[in-house]
Amino acid sequence: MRLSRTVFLFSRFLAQNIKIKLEYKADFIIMLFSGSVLQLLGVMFLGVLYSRIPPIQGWTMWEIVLILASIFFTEGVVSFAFEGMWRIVRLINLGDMDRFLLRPVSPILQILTYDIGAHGIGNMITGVILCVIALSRTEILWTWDRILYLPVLIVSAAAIRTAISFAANCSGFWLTSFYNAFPLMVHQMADFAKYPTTLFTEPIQFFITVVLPYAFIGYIPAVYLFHKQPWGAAAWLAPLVAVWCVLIARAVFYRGLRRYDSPGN
Amino acid sequence: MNVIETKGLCKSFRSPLKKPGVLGAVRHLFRPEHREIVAVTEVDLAIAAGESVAYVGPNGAGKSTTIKMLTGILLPTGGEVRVNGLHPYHQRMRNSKNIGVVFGQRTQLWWDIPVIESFTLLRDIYEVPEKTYAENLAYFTGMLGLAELLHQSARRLSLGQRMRCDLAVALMHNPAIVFLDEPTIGLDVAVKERIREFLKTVNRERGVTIMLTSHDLGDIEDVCRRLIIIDAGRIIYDGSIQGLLDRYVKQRSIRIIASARIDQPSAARAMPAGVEIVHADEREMTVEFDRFRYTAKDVLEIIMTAAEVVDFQLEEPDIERVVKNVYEGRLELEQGA
Ligand SMILES: Nc1ncnc2c1ncn2[C@@H]1O[C@H](COP(=O)(O)OP(=O)(O)OP(=O)(O)O)[C@@H](O)[C@H]1O
Ligand SMILES: [Mg+2]
Repeated sequence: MRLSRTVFLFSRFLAQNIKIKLEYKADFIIMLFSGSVLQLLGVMFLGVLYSRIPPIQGWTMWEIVLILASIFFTEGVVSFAFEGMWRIVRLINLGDMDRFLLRPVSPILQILTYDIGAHGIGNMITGVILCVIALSRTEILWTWDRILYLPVLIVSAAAIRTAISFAANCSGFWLTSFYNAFPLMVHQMADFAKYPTTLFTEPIQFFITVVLPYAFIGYIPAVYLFHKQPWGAAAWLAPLVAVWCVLIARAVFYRGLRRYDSPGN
Repeated sequence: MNVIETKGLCKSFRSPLKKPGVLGAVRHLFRPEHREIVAVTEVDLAIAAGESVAYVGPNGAGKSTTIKMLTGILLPTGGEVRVNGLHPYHQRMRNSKNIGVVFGQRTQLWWDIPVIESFTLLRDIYEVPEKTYAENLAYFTGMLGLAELLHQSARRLSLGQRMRCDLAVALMHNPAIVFLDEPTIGLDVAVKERIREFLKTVNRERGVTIMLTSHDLGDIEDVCRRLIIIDAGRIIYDGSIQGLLDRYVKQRSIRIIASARIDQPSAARAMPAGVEIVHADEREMTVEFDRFRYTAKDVLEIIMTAAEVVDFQLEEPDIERVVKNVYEGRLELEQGA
């Protein structure tokens, strides 16, 4: 599909979803706040933790908070815009995927935009607030390449997260039970990205840089932004990693789709 | 030119064989066993532009499965398939622009938004030019009586109202073919009538090719000129509706009314092979006979030896009977008729 058409349809679907959600106003507002409150509680907990055990491996608390902020923000963007991927299992089991396959639009786009997560807004807000605070408490030497890197990071991180969770949800094509815990588990592993990767043992480091490259959504970019060692420039691999993840997720989806047997009628 | 063409089209499903209980589930996890279900096998279809075809068969015959392969939902497990010259699965997005689809039990509408907004979303999805859209909207609104429905959400529509909207959706982008899988299921007579009228009109005026499945023989006789019967995954008849009657309906029946009580046992004894009493009352009787072996006159004469006939009525074979026979497995149709 042409990019302009994809963007146009994405915005149409998104607008439609927002409108539907706004009809259930109370729900929407509750979701929005629960998102923010949960994240802020998490940060406060971390604050307490760090005030006791100051700098881990040369990372100050506020530097860690900045990593967290960027993760919250992309998590918010992803769950706001692409919540539909969490409905794949249902779409498969109830045969509702049929509808998506009948239209001249990529089924992946239709799945991703099948729903929005209002709590994502809460995450985004939390992310922005934390980011502003953290930036005022940390020292980043803003060179032009680092400024240029920010939008690249946001897009890549969102793509990586979306691709990984989407691919994990595609397990629904193989595991056809309604209660599929696998995607949630994969999603939770993003928690590893919240801390300096070097804190973990080598197998885990390998796992979160290569297998599920969550390191590229938090730690590695932060290393680069703060001019730390090691692997500073590796942060620029993020867009490549994102493309790689997207291609894999796409392939997994179309593999799975061959197994789709359209139950019902 | 054929807009739908298949050669040896097959589809089988692998269905997990699970023993009951937790133990069965655990066993399946480690040593999954599957059962092969053949839904469609060796189906050859050749449907020309502008035709209206009924695709008929008993429950589980493979109708929906065929439609799903022609619309690109399911990947065939064997054979060739072309719809408007495209492979419906591998060229799904291009194919979907040329086809409209209605599944009786599903809807294309979004549940929570007014119907008209579903329409405009679909207009954007199918890239329907504004002018075409406006014309079609006016046309369908008039023909299907959608005016009061457009501003309600799909959730609030009755089945018949929803189905009318779904028909409009299926045709909004001027597809060359519409596939309808049981479009009249669960609808009342008036709505059925309206939908049939609509389908006939778009077929005639717009040249839209129609392929529909239905268990309602009224739909079939009214809308379609060609009949394809599938049973247990195989095509057992493909031809005109009249042709089916001429060729395969062996039975005709005569209903008589007698002036006095009919002595049933002796009447039954009087009937030779190929003539059978299928219904009997005090002074009434219906006799079915092989029309290739007996004329109506022969049969009437036989009946008159056993009853005082005052009136009789010859019942012509009808499509309903034929298809019912097929459904009940009473009629062995030859392949490739
Ligand atoms: N997803 C599936 N998994 C396993 N078997 C299936 C599946 N879909 C259909 N079948 C089987 O394939 C056969 C054909 O089913 P299909 O739905 O095509 O029948 P149909 O002719 O549409 O019947 P009906 O008139 O009841 O709608 C049936 O035996 C059915 O059980
Ligand atoms: Mg069916």
